[in-house]
Amino acid sequence: MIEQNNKFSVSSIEKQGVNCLYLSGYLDAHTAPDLESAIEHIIKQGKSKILVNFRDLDYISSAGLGVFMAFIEEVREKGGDIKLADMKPKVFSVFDLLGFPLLFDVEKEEFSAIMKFTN
Amino acid sequence: MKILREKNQTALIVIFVLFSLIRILGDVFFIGILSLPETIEYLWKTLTATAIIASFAYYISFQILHQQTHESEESVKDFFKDQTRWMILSLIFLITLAIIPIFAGDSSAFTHGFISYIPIIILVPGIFTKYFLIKWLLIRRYKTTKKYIKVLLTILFLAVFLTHLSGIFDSYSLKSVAQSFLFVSIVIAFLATKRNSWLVILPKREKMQLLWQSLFGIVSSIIFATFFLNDENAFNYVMNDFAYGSNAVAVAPYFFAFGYFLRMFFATLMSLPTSQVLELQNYEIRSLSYINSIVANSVDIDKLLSTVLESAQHSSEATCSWIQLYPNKYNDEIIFTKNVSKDAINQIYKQGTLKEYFRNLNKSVLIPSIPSGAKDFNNDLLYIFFGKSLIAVPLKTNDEKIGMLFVLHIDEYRFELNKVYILEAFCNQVSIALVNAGLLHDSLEKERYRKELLLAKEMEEKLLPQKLPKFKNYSISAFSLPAIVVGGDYYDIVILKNNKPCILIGDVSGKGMSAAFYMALLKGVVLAVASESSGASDILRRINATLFGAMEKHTYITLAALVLENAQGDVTYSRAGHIPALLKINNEIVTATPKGLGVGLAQKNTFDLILEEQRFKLNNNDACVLFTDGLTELTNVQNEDFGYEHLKQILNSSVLTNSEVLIEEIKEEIHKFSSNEAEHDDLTMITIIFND
Repeated sequence: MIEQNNKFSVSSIEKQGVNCLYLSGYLDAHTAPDLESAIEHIIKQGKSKILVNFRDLDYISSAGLGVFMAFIEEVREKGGDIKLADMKPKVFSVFDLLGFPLLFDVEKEEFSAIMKFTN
Repeated sequence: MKILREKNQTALIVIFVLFSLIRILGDVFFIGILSLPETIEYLWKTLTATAIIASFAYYISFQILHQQTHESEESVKDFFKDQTRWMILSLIFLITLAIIPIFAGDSSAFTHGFISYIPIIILVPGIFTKYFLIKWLLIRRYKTTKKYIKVLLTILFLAVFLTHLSGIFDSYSLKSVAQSFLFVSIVIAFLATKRNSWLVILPKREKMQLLWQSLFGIVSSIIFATFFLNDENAFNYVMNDFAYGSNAVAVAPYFFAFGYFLRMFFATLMSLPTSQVLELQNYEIRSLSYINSIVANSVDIDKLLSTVLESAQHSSEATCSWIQLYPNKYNDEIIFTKNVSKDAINQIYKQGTLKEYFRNLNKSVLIPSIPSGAKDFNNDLLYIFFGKSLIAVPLKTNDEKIGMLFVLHIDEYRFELNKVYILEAFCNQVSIALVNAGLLHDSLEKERYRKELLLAKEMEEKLLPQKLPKFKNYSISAFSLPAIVVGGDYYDIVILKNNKPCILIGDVSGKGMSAAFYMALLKGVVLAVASESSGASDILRRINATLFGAMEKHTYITLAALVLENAQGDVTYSRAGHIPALLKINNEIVTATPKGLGVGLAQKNTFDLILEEQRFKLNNNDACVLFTDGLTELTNVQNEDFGYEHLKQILNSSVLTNSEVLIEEIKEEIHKFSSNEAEHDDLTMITIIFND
């Protein structure tokens, strides 16, 4: 995993009671704190239904994966979850090799992930 | 030298006293009792007078002139000391002048010669005056001072000489010539007193003192000069009787003093109105210099801010002030106040838009009167109850506003524009200091981080195997290229239960000290569980069971284990989230991807359930390559990844007999791919070739 000084941004919208985070760029040790604060911000508001959309994310490193691990327990204890959706193939393979799909809901499309929240 | 001087001084004083006594007693004897011929009397008077005057003059010149004659920090104090001495001596002169008539009236004193002590007393101030003036003209000299002094001394000599001659020949014209020289000397002394800037910056009190002392100098000089010029008086009579010309010796220096003190008086008088302003300006310059030294020598922000506040309040003559730094990445909000409480400030900040108004001020603002001027700036300023004049100056670094300085006065119309300039100068110093402090902080941070990385790297190197053991029919070789930014790669070869060799490879997520720490932890756990483990998946399960819960939430470790079951090429492989290994079996390249979670991601039950184990049979020249993602994610200048393709190609094209050779081939391929060794993660690979 190569660290680069690359751009990363995260934006947030609420849809049907679910906080959706849209990631774009490179998620590595350098930019992971931005994602951390975004998730923290949502949790502080008392929300626990989080969807992360990876459509515009080009790269993820172990530090990026670690961010999800850091919050998943807390969020699930509150009755919510972090669901992941719309990953590029390369990004998905990183998750897949690590076995993430066995721990997290990883959906191809955003709406199916949101659906899983309402069920 | 000093001792010599002291001996000289004592000798001179002794001579002076001795000759004075000789003269006084001699007068009593020769004049009172005997009667001398005129010439002898003349010689007696002149020679003794000369000896007395000369010895005293020398003594004074040692006292005064042989000290340092250039300006120093002590000069003002010294000047006032010397001038006070001079005043005392002149006073004695005045008193003596006043009481001469009493003694001169008694003709018996003359006839008995017991009058000479009076001229001796009178000569002392005059001689002292001469050297006092020479000293202080030299200390505050300029280019032509020495020339002027020479002229004055020439005039002094001429005046004394001519007066002496006029006494012998009783010539009025010679006396007038002497007197006209002395009048000229007033002008010369006035011109010589040029360097007066030292008195311009004196505090007001000292200026007034100087004024009165100069006035005394002027008046006393006029008095003495009058006595000298007016021929028929007791003073001249007594002095001429002592020695011709001795009155000139006593009074001529006072002509010079008149010019000197006259100029000093006017210079002081004219600088009185500006004295307060100059005092303040002087204070400001000294404050800036002091603040400068704090900025240069320390990064104590608290000390700097409180010093700046003190200086700001004093120089603007404010009644209260405060300085605040907004919170930033180095500190929370800092506020220093003077003569006002933080509560009062918080109170006014709560009013309306005052806080915002100040926050948005990017230039200095001077409000001469808040009651009448507030409407032009912000009405909420009227809430300020502890002051009616205000100056606010922003603190900036790199055009970014980081705080504010406020000074207030309880009365209106107390601040002028030039106060704003000096406050801005103080604030600039604060900005420079803050930038310095920030830079220092950052560079210390960087240094600390760099050291941490070096330590972590050292640690990691110690945790990797130094030598690989050999096993029958297997050729094993490893290569590890640590990153500059330490990455957490791990590998080892351990012996399981039943003596089976197990090759482990792993990657700790994270960097630096944290990764190195987990590597050490991992190695410890591996060594502890190895001999109890029965196979590839078993050892991985045991490792996860031990480590899960012992690691931080966001940390996990990817691991893979390859166990050499026997010497016939049977191997088992298990993968806990690590990137898949490549195997060459019967000329086919296989990517081994058994299911498995990374270690530390899930507790025992989940992890154990998911973990799979794959079995392979290696034949002659078959191989297995384990590696970390530092290899596959290596990028070249075209931003391509090394990936799996290059490895697959090498495995396909080579005849595999020796692992070391294979490793070299792969290394060469890496070099060809990317010559840029700068930025990469830890890169590790292990090759196992079976040869039976």
